[in-house]
Amino acid sequence: MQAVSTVQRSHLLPRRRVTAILVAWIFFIYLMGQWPGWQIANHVEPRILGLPFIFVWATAWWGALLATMIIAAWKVWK
Amino acid sequence: MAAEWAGPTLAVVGIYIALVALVGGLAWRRLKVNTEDFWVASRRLGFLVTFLSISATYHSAFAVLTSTAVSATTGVAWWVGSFAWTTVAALVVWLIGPRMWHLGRKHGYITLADMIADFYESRSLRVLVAIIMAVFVVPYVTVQAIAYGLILDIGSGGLIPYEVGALALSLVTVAYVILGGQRASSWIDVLQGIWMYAVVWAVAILVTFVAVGGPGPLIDRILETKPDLLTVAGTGFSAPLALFSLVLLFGLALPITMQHLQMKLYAARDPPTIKWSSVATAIYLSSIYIPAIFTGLTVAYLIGTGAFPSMATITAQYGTSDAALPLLAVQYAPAILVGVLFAGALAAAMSTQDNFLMATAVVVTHDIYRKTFRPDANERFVVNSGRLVMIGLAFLGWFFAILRPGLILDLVALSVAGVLQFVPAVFCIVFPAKRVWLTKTGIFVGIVIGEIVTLVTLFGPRIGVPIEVNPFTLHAGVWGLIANFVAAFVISLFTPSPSPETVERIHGYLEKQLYGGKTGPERPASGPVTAADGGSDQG
Repeated sequence: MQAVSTVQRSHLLPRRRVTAILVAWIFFIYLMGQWPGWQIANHVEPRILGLPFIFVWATAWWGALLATMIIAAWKVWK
Repeated sequence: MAAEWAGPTLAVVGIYIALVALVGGLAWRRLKVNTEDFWVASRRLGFLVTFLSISATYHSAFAVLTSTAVSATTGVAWWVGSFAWTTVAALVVWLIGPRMWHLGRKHGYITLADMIADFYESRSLRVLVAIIMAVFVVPYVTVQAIAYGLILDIGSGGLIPYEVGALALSLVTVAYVILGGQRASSWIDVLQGIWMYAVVWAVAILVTFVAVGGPGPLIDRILETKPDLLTVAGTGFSAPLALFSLVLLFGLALPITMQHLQMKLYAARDPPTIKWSSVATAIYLSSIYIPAIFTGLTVAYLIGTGAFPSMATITAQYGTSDAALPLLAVQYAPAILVGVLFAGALAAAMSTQDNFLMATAVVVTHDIYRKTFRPDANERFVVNSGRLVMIGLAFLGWFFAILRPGLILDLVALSVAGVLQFVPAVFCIVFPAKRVWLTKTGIFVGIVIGEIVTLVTLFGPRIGVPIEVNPFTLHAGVWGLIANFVAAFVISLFTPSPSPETVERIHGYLEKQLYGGKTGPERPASGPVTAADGGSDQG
């Protein structure tokens, strides 16, 4: 038996459009930086600053995630 | 004859321990002997302390020692994988931390079991959660004692035997935490967090340049000798489901269901503090693994040239391949930096050990003794009992450490797999919905089944159960979580939910705090919950 609460909408669902967009963007970052995204970048060449391409690829998506978090904390989810 | 680095190493470690004692002493002078101040520092920790405390606590000796050992065999895959679970951990803190903070402050929660028992109205659930928490903490405490022993053994060039080092530093850790509680632990975490981060980067840069000539030449040589380390194999550690498991274990479960980290969320001053701590934590937790790639690849290259002992040799000599980084440092870094590295590794281990000791003590004295048997127990008695529990647990961790149980990563994963089973219970509380889908009976049975499935999947093959370890590369804890969730959901369909009053008191409060404005006065930061606050009597 499930109790019915006065909560109008699940807290797992975004309530603002900007939140939905940010959540989707963060998922996209993980899909690209992790599986399956890393499969398209899983090679050493071209090396960037002497580093393997896959390393730079993952680092770039990590940087994008950090930038997203900073912007979200600063401007969106105050 | 002692090794040349032994003197400087022991001197730096001595300075480090003196600093720890100094900060611990300052925190002790501020301590009020009541549970609210001892366990959650009166819920007043600011951004810098919260951020560095969460970061230093999250990263144990695992981050400093194991990361090099693992990246020596997995290469860049370590970075690709580790950035996922470390950033997910930070996002989880951001998402769930403020919710736990609101409930903790309103209802006086100190532990995870407080929140679960209050929402599901179940004393037996409180005891179950507390017992599992206490049991699965032991491997984690053991891990840190292993690190103490290894570091002092290698750092002193064998002058301080592994067993003696493990015991001595366990006692140092327990000393400052029993004196100053959460405040001492968190303040010292700041020192430890800065130290370990700086030293990991410094040693990696130095060793890479001295041993191979820098990152560029290192990549060139690895490309010639072990090119597989420069791409993601997609098997073993880096198999998609294996990485997904690690994200669930270290990204989801560790920050919200492990008592030591979860208490940090209650101790923060306010939700913005948690939010900004989460952002800073994401940067810290991930970037500390970048230097590990270079030290790991350096180890791999040197093993190939014969200039460094193989992983098998290291494991045979020290009981674990985690000794690779200390050995690399003593071979290629100046003696004084070796000392700084060893102190940094100690900082990583201590900053986790202290919080685990405290977390277990609070579980035993607060959840089991006070809340279950003696609700009228004296505050001072509860705090002092907690201190005794910490001493006992430190000895237990040391005892298991001298048995040298193996790679730190495996032990840490076992610990977190146990508490991963609390995730459905926590999610159902902190993410209100129109319906409460899980009940106390469902949660109870789900957790029990989850733990059984985890242990059978992990240890079954050793006792003849016809099953492979971590089937399909998915960790045993995740199989446990799947079984847990299915059982909890099905049983909840036929068993009574929490009362509407409790659901409204907790879910209704979260709804109003997060989406509908404030509804009443907050209780004082360190004062008791009163009827006037609208708080419960569960805290």
